[in-house]
Amino acid sequence: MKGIIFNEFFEMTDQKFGMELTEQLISQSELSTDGAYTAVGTYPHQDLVSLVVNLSKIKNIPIDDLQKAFGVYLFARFNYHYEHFFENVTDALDFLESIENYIHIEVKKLYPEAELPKMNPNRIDENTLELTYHSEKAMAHFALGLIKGCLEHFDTEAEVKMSPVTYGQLTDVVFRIKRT
Amino acid sequence: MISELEILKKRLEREKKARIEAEKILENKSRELYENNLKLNELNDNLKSEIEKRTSEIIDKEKKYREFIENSSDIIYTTDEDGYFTYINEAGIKISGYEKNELIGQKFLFLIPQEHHTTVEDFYSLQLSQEKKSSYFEFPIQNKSGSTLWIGQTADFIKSGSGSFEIRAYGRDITEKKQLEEYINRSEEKYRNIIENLELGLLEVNTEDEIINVYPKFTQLTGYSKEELIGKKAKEVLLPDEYYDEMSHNEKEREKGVASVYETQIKCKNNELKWVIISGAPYYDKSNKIVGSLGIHLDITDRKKMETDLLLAKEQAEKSIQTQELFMANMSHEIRTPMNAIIGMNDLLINSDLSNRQLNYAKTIKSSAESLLVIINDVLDFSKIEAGKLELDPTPTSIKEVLEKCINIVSYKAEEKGLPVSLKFDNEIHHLHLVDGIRLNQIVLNLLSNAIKFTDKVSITILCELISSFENVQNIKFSVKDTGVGLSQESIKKVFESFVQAEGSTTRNYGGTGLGLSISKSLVAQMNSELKVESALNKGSIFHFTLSLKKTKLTERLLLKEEIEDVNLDGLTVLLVDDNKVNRFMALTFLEQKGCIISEAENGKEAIELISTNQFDIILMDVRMPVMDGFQATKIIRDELNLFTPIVALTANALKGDSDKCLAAGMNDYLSKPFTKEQLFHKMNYVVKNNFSRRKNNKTTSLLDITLLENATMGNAAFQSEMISLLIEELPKDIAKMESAISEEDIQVLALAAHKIKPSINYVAIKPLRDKVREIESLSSWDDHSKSIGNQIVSELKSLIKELRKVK
Repeated sequence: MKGIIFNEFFEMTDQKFGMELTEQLISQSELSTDGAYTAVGTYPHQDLVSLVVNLSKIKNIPIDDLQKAFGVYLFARFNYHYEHFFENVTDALDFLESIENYIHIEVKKLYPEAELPKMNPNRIDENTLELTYHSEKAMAHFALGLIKGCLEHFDTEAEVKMSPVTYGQLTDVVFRIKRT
Repeated sequence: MISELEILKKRLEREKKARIEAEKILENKSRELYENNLKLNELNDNLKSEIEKRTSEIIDKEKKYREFIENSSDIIYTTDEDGYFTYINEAGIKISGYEKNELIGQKFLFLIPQEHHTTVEDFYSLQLSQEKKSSYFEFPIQNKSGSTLWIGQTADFIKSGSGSFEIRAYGRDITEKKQLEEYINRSEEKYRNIIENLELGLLEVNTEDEIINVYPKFTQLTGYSKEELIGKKAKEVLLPDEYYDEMSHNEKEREKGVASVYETQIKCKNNELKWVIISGAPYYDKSNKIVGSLGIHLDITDRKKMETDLLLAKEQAEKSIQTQELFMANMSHEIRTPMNAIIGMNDLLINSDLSNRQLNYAKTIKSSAESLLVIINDVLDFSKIEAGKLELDPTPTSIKEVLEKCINIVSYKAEEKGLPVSLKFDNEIHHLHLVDGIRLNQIVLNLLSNAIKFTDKVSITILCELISSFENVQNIKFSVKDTGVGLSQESIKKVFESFVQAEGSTTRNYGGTGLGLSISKSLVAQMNSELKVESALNKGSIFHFTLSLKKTKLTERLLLKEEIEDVNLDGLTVLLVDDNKVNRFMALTFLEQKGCIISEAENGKEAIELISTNQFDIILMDVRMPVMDGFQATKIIRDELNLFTPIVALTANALKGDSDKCLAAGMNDYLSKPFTKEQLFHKMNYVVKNNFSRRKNNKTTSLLDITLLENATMGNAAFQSEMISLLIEELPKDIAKMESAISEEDIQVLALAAHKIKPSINYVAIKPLRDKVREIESLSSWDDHSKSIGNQIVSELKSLIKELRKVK
């Protein structure tokens, strides 16, 4: 997991719960780096899981909600950090559709070691998009938060339906995004 | 509660740690980048040198291929898809005669004569439409100097990425091949035409005799269509059964590779049979195996018909010749019989008591009759010569006697004219030669008669000169020289032609038939020489010829000459058989003068009756008689009465073959009518003496007659003795064979044995025995007659061997 995710996570806790809580969280969590992350570095996914789980305990907020909230927050930050991905894009669904086949490919060019989830698009019609989430990290709600963040960013009213599709021990999630 | 400062310190601490981490990452990334860069540079350098190497290799390769293409003797060129030249190699330039720059940018049709454009374009359009990648085609081009060349071209269509294509073509100058093809085609066409126009029907069959090809003339010949014949067995459809064997034989020959020509008949569709000559020859595949045969059929039906017609015509012609011969024989008989009477009776008249005047008349009759006889003989001889029927009969002859006799004959006439006829005879000439004395006499007599006719004064000379002499042969020149009117150069040329006389007036002035010289010339020619004449007008003539004659020794027959003058026939019992009363009367008168005792018979039947009851020393027998002829009577006398009384035929048939018939019938000799009384006495004396002497010697009739052996061996006694020894040794084997053949009634073996002994028997046996052998030889079926004759021969041959032993 890229260091930027951790830094943005701490930025969010600072803003929402204050620096004191962030320090508490770092000291209570078992982190590979004692909480020092650089944006370009790569760190264990377990660190984020530990942080989310501890925050949920401290603040008594469900993990899914935390994930979702972080997703919404992170999308705005992405927009801030990676402006060039947003150039010439005006539609939320178009942007979401391009994640797997454009943004992830560009990310891989810069960070070949990055482990990215699959977000396979299926454009049903102009106003309907299905995205199939596939990851070993079971962070579907984080993904949902990012989708919501995207819709907010483009000022798009849409209904997002989340349905798990289980096969074997893994569970994929299909997001059906329908403009309202 | 943690102080804010505490928090910031912690955060700073973390930031430092993160920065160090980031710097480390950056450093690693930089090193990585640097190393990658180094690697990249290295790769770049490698790539560059590799590219250079490859490029130079490609250039080399291309150079090589280009040289290869340039130096190829085949034309190699490329065009774009519209057919415009984009490249052409050296061979193309050389063959077309154009410069490279004249061709590049031209359409390739530019080289092809206008009249072939459509064909070539159509061909390549078709290839394109069928998406054929490669194709071969032959077409003519016209080079710059205007000559036409044939090109055989392989063209490949090469598609490029952009969908357009290029044409790569490889062409070769095939003008010679094309000319050869054309030559072969023309030649084939020519021979096909020839064969078709020759009215020859061609048929090809395979080794199974199945028809595989039929040519139009053959369908015309047989009436079958090609379709009706193909695949059928040739023999079954076309050949009549009776020719199967012959055809099979010919086929076997053909299997051995032997071509054959034979005649056969074939069945046509309408069942008509046609005669054809088949000329059959095997033909071969590449490995020289016979795969079938080609039969050439020539319709010879018409020719066959013509042949049959001709054969018929020939038979008719032969029959007509036979008729003519018979006519000649009849005429000869009809003329000679009264002539005989005239001359004979006239002789009697002359010898009777006549007044001088009457004697003169009678002598005139005699000379006229003799002249007439000469003319008749000339005409008959001429007919025989014309018909090629005249044959010589060489016998031991004294030339001197012949010549003296001639002079003797003409002396009366010559004396009348006061002409001396002299003979200059070379005494070196052998006293006997094998020559036809009668004919030699005829030639000389003719020349003498002419000489006397055309000479009024001075003299006539016969010259007989020995030109050269060898052990057995002498070349003798005969010349008759006169001092008469002679012949002009022009007349010399015509003098030997038939019916031609020196001048049209000759006949009027001198008489004669005009055949004499022509006959003489033919007779001399038959003696392998040439009668020549040297003459000039008023300078007389010399007629001469040179004969090459075999010397021979004296025989019994000729000894008699000295005795002619004094023939003693006193007391001889003679049976005279002749239906002609005048002839009988004449002979009777002659014979009575000689003191013979004569009995007369009118025909063969009467004669046999007399012979059965009386004994005769000699029989004079006419040949042609009513009731029973002389031949028949003789056969009965010999075969049934078993009597060997000498028989002399008196025949008016002066044709060749008569004498043979007489002897074949068993007669001892013959006398041709008309004959003089001297000739009759001479003949009777000879025959009787000959026969008497034999009887005295052997008691039974001798079967031995070695005259021919003596003649053939020219009197070489040693050789004769050897021959006889050989016969004594060989004959018994053949006799044994004949005896077994008789007991087995096998005529073929008997005939074969007879055939084998015939040549030897001819030299040593008397004629009746020789004839029996000949008869057996010609028999083809077994009957009582063949049995009897076979037995006779066997017993006679046994006697002959005994006689041969004695002679030896």
